[in-house]
Amino acid sequence: MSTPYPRPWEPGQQPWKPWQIEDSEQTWRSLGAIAHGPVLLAEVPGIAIGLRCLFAHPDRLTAWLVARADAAFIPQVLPARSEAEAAVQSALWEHWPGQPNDPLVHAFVDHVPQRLVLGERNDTYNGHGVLRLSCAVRVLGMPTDDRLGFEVSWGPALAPTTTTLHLPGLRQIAASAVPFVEDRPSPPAT
Amino acid sequence: MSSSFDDGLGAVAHGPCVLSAGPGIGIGLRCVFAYPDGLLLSVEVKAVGQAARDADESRIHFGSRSGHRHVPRLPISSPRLSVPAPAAGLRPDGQLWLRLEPHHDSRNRTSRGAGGEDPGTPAYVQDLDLWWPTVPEDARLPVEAGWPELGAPMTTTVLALRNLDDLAEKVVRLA
Repeated sequence: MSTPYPRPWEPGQQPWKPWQIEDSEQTWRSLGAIAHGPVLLAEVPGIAIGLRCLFAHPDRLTAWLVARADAAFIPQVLPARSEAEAAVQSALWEHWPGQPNDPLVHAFVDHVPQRLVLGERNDTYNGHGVLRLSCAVRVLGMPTDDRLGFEVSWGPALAPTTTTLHLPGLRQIAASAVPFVEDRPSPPAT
Repeated sequence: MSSSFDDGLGAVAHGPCVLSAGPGIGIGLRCVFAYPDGLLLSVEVKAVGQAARDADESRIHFGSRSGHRHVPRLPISSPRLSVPAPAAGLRPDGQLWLRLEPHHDSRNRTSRGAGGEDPGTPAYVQDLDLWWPTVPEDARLPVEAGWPELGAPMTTTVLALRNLDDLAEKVVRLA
């Protein structure tokens, strides 16, 4: 099992506790700004992973990811894993945050792998012979080179595939994130 | 039922904007994705403090461990989002507004600034995806949104949509 992250039990590493990570007030209260539109991140016949949209917040990014697998390919993307393997992967929160058989997603900020945090949504539905996943993940940190890398894979069927998004003017885009929760909002314009 | 947004990445037709806001509560549009047969609206509702308490007390939910039904303290309510129907109708402005029913609706009670003994400030987050099976010919979509029971007034915003041409080619297929 490969991972770009240091293991929590390695010397000097802190356990990864995403549930303790809290957004800054400015970011929590913002809707974000669109930093990148839809793009296909990886595809093989019957399986695809895509980015619906990338939002920039004052100090981080949100990626809305979707994945799709035809029923005929589900046995390939959802292979039987040992309980021990699943337990380790769950404990490390390395997968599309959620189930151990979900796609594996890594994001690279300034070429450094960033752990992902499950955002506000994570839904799965299975019907018409198709498995669909949708997930908003928080990418902690802001690239200084206006680039964001993704590496996605899904079981043995979809090998790791890298995509680099170019995000010109990212800092300015992030600074324009729309605030929408205020203690004393101004009344709507009439 | 499978819609085209299930199997494709729609074109970005509108970015984030505030649809309705009250003290400590906001209803925001994150994005409109356009498909040849309709629009997918991604909406976020967030509240803090008393508005978050009220949001949580305005719905029935189930205890995570006990499975017991939580009886709301306030009258049951939820955020409302509507778009005008094509036909003339009931409202003084001559339009019948159709309430959009979400096909995805997740809500969470959470907190901000908790640590140690401090429970922090209550917070509320709700995510909604709404499907409107029409692409307006004039690229304008009026949306009425609000949660008056929680102080977010019903407010009409006319969205000026862009990027609507050649949608059949623009939508990135996932299948």
